[in-house]
Amino acid sequence: MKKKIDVTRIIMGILAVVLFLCLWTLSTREGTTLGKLMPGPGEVFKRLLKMTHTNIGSLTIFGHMLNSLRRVLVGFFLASVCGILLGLGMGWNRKCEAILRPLFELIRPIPPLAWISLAIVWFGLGEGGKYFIIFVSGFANVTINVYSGAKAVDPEVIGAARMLGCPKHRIFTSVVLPSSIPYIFTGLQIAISSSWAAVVAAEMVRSTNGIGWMITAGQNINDMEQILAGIIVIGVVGFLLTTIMRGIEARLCAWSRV
Amino acid sequence: MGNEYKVQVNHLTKKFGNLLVLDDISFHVKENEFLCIVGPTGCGKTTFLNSLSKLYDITAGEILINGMPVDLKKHNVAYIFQEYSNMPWLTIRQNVEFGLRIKHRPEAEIREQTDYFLDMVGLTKFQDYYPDQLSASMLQRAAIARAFAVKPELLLMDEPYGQLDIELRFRLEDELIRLWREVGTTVIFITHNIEEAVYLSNRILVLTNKPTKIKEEIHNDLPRPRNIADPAFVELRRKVTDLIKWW
Amino acid sequence: MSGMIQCEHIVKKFPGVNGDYEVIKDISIEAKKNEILVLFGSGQCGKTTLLKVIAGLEPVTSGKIFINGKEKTAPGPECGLVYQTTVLFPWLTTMGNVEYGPKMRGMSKKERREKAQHYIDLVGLRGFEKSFPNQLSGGMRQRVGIARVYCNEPDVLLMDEPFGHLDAQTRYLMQEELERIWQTEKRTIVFVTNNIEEALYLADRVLVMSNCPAVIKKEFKVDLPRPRDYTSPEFLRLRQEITSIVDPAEL
Repeated sequence: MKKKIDVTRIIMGILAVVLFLCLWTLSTREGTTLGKLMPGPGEVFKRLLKMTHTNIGSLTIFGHMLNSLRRVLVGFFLASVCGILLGLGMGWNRKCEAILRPLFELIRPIPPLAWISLAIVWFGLGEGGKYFIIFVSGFANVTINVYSGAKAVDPEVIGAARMLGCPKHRIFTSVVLPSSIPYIFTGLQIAISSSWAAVVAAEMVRSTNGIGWMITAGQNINDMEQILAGIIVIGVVGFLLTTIMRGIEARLCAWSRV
Repeated sequence: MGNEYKVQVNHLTKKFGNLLVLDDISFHVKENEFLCIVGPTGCGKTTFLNSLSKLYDITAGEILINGMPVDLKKHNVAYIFQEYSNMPWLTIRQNVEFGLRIKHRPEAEIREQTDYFLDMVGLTKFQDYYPDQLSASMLQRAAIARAFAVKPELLLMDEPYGQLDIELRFRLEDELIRLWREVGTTVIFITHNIEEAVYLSNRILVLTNKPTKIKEEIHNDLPRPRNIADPAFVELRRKVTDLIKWW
Repeated sequence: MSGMIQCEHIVKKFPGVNGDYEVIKDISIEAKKNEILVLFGSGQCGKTTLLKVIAGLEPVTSGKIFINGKEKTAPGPECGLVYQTTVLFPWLTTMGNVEYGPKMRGMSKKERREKAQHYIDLVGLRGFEKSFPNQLSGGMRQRVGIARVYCNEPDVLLMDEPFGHLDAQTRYLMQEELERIWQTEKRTIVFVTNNIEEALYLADRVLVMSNCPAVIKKEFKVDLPRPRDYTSPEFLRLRQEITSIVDPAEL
């Protein structure tokens, strides 16, 4: 149970990123074909720095990022709450499972992008539609994981609780819920990354701000640096979000790791 | 010294980082000897075995078979572990054949050897079954047939009967002794169970707690077949128990 | 005084493809207060089912079970079960597991903590109160299992091969520990095992069971003085006598 930070692993990770940047620089140097299509990392980072204090459209890059984040968090929160409730319900209650499972299985395979048109019709081009798309992209992941968690509760553990005097109506809060927590987190983990991926798609449809908008705008004016800057921000923020989630999970689920 | 000893372990040392697990262990095993190794729980027996089988790199020292450093390509070493190492997608017969096939023996020899050893462990009737259709003790028998079929120079066994009932264990142990006498091979057998060690061995190495050293070496000349209630047996069992008793 | 456990003509059948499959065939058992009764036999089937039936986790096909004079029909705190695979609550610490029963009965926090601490000390786990099960060794987890059951103060302790997964030495240690715990605070224990040494070390009485369907083959009273010596002549004699009447279970 000792926490040991593996220095070599971190160094290797950093080295890989550096190597990638070198390759990028080399392959886009002056005179190469790729160089004509794409700026090198140096220019993109210079541009990124500039974006922190000058506006793209109406906001700085932080403004766009915060707008995207807000959408993600709202959609993700709704998806988590609904997914956890539905997953636990289906996993624990047979009737609930019989009624909702077929419906859920029908909706589950539909990719979030397929909902975009519906979202526009139902919620218009405002924030509602974007929340909806993000919600849809996270919801199924949370539900299916929580569902399998609640299903996977060891009947022996329930038996043990009963024998220790746990009344029937408390089995859910006392056994099913805590033993599902690792599954809930797996679901949330996947959902936060897919929500973040979906926000870009949602913002590409129609919007006036956000990282997705930034990329589309870059495309419209053929500004490669802006597109690449947007992509880098997406990658970095996505990485940070999953890292934070993992940290929370490590705190709460210390008992489930060997 | 040359080939006087089948296996020579010289100054075997193993560290994990700064943690010394095996501390300068030396011992020799004669041809056709049945050596049991016992030690207190958590004494590094598994590390010891893994070092012997070269699954881990050793930190210092050497392991020689017939006077040459262990080379699994050259030396014929077989293992039997507590987990049944049968391959679930092969029938019992194919499992027993497996080692021979890897060594590219001629087809006729494979057939003959497999027949012989399946018969020896009483699994002829079950040769076309798959591992998950058989009981734990039958699987362990199949593993033993497979190990003996390749006529190993050295057979390493890591608590193969740890999870079996006592009566079953005795039956399989008798079978093992019979095979060992008939085929003639050098066996190193690692166990937690002192009664088992006294029942099987010619010699017992008692290990200490980590960092593991050899605490004592005990010769076991009790006549076979052995009887667990025989006073001499009981005395030897007590002696070994006193040497490792940590509980 | 009537027995702490009374099983009358227990029959248990499971529905199978070719009709019902009889696992327990007309077994009657009685255990006195503070007695250690060992059910010994090779093979998997029958013994565990019998414990589950006594625990109320499995309904009987016919027959009656009385615990301390009351008929048993559903799982409840009058029986405590120590499992082969521990079955602790992995999300609770040692303390959380041990105090679970009293907590469910609504005992105040201070009171139940004190009580749990007493049993944690009794099983020798002081200092590990805050450890989660996955941070403990196999033997320690079984100690938690025993403390958890003791702390719930059942009339009867049922133990289903609790040391079956431990290595030979840890197993001896745990047998000695269980004997010590039981000597300190006596309880009625029904202990299932397929290890004859364990059976003879712990038992006041050994019931030798046959495998599938389970019936009682023979009863042995063990009145060797405690703590017992695994290598004493009487111990070894009983051991060989019992082993000789067990089914050649294989195949």
